[in-house]
Amino acid sequence: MDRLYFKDKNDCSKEITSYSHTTWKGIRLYDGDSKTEYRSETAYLTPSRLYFSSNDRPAMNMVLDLKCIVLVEEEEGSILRSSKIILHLLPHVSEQHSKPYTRSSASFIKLAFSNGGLSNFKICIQKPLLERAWEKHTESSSTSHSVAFQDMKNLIDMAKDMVQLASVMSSKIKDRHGDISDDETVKFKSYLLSLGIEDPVTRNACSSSNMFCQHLAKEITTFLLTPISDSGGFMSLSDAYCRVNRARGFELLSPEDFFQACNYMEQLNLPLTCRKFESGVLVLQLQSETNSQLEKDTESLLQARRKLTAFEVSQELGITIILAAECLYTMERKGVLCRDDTVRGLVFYHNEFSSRT
Amino acid sequence: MEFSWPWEYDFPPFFTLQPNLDTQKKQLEAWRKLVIDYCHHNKIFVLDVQESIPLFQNKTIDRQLSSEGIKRVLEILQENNQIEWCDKSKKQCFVYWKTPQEWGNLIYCYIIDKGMTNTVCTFYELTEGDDVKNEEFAGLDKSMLLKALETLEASKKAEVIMFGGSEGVKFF
Repeated sequence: MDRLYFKDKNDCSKEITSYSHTTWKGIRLYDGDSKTEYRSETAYLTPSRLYFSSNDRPAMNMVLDLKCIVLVEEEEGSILRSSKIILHLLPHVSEQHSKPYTRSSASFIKLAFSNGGLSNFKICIQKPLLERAWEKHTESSSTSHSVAFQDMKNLIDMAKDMVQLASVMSSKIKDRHGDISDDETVKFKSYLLSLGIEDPVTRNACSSSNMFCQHLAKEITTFLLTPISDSGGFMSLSDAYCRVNRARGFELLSPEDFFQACNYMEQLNLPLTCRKFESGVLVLQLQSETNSQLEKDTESLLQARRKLTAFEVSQELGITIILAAECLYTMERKGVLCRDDTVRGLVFYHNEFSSRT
Repeated sequence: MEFSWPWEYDFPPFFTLQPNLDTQKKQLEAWRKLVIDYCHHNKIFVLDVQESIPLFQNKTIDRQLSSEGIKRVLEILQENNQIEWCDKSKKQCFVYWKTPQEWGNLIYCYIIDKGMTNTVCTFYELTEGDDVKNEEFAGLDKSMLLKALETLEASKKAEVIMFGGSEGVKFF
């Protein structure tokens, strides 16, 4: 009983009026097992406190902070004794308030309900004990934690919906494999990518069953066939990538998807193929186009000029300098050309070491 | 008579060590021949690497073989036993546009022709004398002469001797 304290009625009234919706009359308080003088209290329950008021005490209420309650039990009555509610309490902590009992040896109090309502009380007291509203009123950081976790909780709930939506769509696509147009798939995937969600459909490496890669390979080929033919049968992979994405507008391809699709072309017997030069440069080239045409053109150019730089070749044949250089290096490797390397630059000649011996 | 440079000498790629190994092989072969012919023409018996730079450059076309290239050329020459380093520093080398054996034989044939066996000649007579003016071995570098004579000694056709403060050789 030493956990209860007195409080001015006026101070309590606001809280009681706002939160207490049920009252219990005719409550008798026991200090441990011993009866106390308080036999006809009216109990008011708020989220944080249990108030006891009595006509005997016009000015003061008795208050029990709910945070002191460790356990709520029901003591079954018998013929001689009524049922009671036992409230097991935390040990005494010295406080400022005036109290009905300064010291008590019991660690619990009992409430007898002479006017009934015990069962109701037992139910009603569970809620505030679970919610522990008094923790929200403290000024410790636990307030902000719970608020932060609340936001997080909301976010997780929202994400749950999105993830669920994504997986539903994915399974729909899987089920209707082939019925959904690949453009829709691409659109959907780009949405997912913008959300940062990986789409399981394209996550796997390009396998023979991957329609997306196949379709993409065909699409790239159709789009790039003319430009590549016009530019000497070669286009560097980076140029090709930029062109394709620029044309697509907003349904952009990732470099990985593009690269995988290009590697697929040969398998699909498409007129374009992806090729890696010795220097590591990657190009898309016309399948029918072996190096021969470009080399023939370079050869003719050399006949006219006796010597060539990569720059001159790129200018005359309308190809990039990288490709021009690659062509010259290839011809040098074949022994068709030899080089003159000075501070002024790299120039190629016919390999007269071979032809004139 | 002016030395006639080979066509490669005016071909700019000749002065760039070719990365294509087949091409390089041909290039180095041309250099080897050029060095030997040049030394032969100019009767260069000992080549100083530093001073040989003019051989490895062509001012007309403003080209010069790199030191790496020169090194490769000399390596080829050594592999063919056409040069021999004078010492470990590799700053100078004998150029064998004729081998010591060839020199030895040339000299010995001359001696036989002149019936000079069993006589003693000084080195000076052999290389600088008026009689030998038109011989190929006229002006032969002394070190080269010694090598040549050593080969003759090995086949017991000559013997190098010292007499009266000079070096000489007796042919048999």
